[in-house]
Amino acid sequence: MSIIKLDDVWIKYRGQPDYALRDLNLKVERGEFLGIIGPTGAGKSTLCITLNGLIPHLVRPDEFRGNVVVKGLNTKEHKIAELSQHIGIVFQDYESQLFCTNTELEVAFGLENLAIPRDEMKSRIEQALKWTRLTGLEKHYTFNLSGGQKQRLAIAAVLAMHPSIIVLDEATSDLDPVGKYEVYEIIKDLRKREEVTMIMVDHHLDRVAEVADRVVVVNKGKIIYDDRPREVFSHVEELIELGLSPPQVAELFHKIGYEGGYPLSVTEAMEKFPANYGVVSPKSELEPVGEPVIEIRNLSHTYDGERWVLKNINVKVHRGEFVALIGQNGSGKTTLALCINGVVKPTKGSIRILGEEATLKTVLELGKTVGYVYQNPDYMIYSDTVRAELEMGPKYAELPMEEVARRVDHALKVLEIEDLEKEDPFFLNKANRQRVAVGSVLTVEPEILIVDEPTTGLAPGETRHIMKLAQELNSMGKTIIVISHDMWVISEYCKRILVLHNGDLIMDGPTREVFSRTNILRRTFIEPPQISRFSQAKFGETFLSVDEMVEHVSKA
Amino acid sequence: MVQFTLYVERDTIIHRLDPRAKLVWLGCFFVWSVTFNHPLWCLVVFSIAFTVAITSRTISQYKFALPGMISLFIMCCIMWPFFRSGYTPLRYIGPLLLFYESVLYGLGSAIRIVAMILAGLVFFATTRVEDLFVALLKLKRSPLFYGMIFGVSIIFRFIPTFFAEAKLIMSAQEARGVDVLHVNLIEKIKNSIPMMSPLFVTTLRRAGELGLAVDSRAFRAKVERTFLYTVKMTAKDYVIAILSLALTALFLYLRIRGYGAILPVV
Repeated sequence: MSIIKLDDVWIKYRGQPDYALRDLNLKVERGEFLGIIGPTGAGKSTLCITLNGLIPHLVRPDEFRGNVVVKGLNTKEHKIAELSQHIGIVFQDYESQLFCTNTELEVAFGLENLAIPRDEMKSRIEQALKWTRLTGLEKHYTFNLSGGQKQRLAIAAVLAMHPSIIVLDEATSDLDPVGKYEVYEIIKDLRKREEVTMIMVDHHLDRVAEVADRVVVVNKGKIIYDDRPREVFSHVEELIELGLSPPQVAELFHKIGYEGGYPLSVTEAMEKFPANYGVVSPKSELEPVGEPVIEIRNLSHTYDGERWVLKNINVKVHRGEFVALIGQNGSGKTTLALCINGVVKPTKGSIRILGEEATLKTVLELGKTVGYVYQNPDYMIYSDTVRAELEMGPKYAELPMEEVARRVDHALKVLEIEDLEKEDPFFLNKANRQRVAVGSVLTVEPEILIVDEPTTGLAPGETRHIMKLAQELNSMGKTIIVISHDMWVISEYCKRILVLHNGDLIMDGPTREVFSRTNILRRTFIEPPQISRFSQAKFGETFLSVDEMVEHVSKA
Repeated sequence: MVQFTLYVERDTIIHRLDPRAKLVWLGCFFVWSVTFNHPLWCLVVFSIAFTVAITSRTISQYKFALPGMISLFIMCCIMWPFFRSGYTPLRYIGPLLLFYESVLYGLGSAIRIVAMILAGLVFFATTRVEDLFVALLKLKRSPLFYGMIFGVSIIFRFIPTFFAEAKLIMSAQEARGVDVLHVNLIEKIKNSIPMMSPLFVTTLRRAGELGLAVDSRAFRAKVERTFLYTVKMTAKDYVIAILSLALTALFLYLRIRGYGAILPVV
């Protein structure tokens, strides 16, 4: 008997014209690893919270039809508390799933609710913390943990309840590469150790391909593919059409017209790549360089007087450059970016913006030259219409009304959100809120634009849209600095990379050159995109995108 | 790392006391503070809190509160004499006549308010908030009460997150041109909307997600829940509680007999 069975499930939220799930049928077998993929708004998260009874018991939709049966329990007839003993769920935002003051209490929370005796509770906590590599942090305050540790703690809290099904709803989206790596390692370990059924929603399809037994693709509330990963990822065109990124090696094989099953990993691609194909080296394009707009000299910073977050940074960024700032959380990249826009005043050194010393200027003054788009669009948005939000910056700068209108109209057009101008940003989806946040900075017309993690939690299609926008601004002469953990984004769009590691600028060079130095990158847990890894391993060349490699590959 | 909690780990008798015994002491202390208004008697009560603070080796934790305590002390000394009239005229300040007893009453009030703050600080610096919640839940076992206590504990968990986000939002809005520092009061209030509104929205979104996560972890699954941390009243806890109550009775008796009051008011 299937451990999870959904029969003809229809769900419609209040005030929404369309069904979130429509006529959805799904069976999951005991011990299976199911990957769920699909564009944003496809219904993946709705599906997840339907499984543990949050729908219909806590989130009450207007319409809920069909049956969801988990371990023989119909979710309509059993409370969430009862279902939570069988099915645990880990969400994307680690902050909102930790609600206790310290680590061990967090793991204990579910066990206390289930009235587990204290001695058993202690041994379960010990085991769950060991599995999630958090042993030794029992008494640590949860707010002092790193992002990766917080998400692992959320997983530990679920594991301790000994559920037979674990659902990970974009549980790695908000994490840096180390955090992601740690979570995937835990998942792999767990599968070896326990007979646990896992359901994972993730935008990193190469990872899904690596771990899942079966993949379902959801679009507009319906399952459109339900098969083994190899079969699902053979629909390359269709997946790209949906705004998803199939494993890059599968896309490459598809585009060179390979007949047979596409590979899903670099190792597999190495074995399968046709022997009669060769590549020509990609051109090392030298970008014309304008005058320096940012000059950083001997910059060091410490927050507490003890640990140096930035150590003697020297770098110049020129007009019209498209630069990526990469490194783990805590490497100093956000501090460096905040030094540039004046929020952080560096302890030592100087920053010159357009030739003027920036360390002496206020955030307010620098804001006219340096725009900063924060990771969370909600930090920036407050107006009741999109138009009002975009008008805010130029209005504060006391520009004439005609100029304000001109800038707002232009931004709405560039961002392709003209139809949303009268909408309340609060009710827009994250991708659109992110666009509004970019727009609100854009209307100030800054010379330099810093975009901090613009793509977190967005599907690849939406990510591309935001990045194309940055590219367009760049072509208009703006200098762009992007902070991101998504290497394929950097690889496809950025021309130059600055790599920070423990406060040191350990690499600074053209994207291709940086991504070819895998040994140094490995030290910082940064992994170049799959296509770059494959082209290096196979041909000793670093290609930055599938399309670039396709252009340079031909039958020998 | 930023310290957002007052509690500091020390191995002292005050730390080892059961939170319930400390709560009884704290409650009694507030009664003692308002029992007397003569500065000398107030000083006796203050010295009890001070002795406990010294014994608990937590004085260094209160630095942040010192400016506030000093301002309150000065304000009480200046303000109270004008609100309480006494019997022995001292002098006129403008049209207002100042009495000897009123000045002493102001001084007494200042001492007792500082004593109460100090006692509260000692309590939180020596009691882990987790132990306090467990102790409170032992006082009253009901799902509703548990829900209330859980709600309060969530505030403790999210204070640091809230402040970190508030700081980010402020800099995000400042970078867009919102000025709250160099403008007049009306502009300040107007410009605080871009700061407050995103903070409210972010908190609201988080609260929604928090609800899902809490329920997914079997919240209120059983009427009787178990606890990882336990607290236990020992002999010394009972001694402290009884001693505090006895002292309360004694102080009230003394006050009724006319001791410790410079003026016949609270």
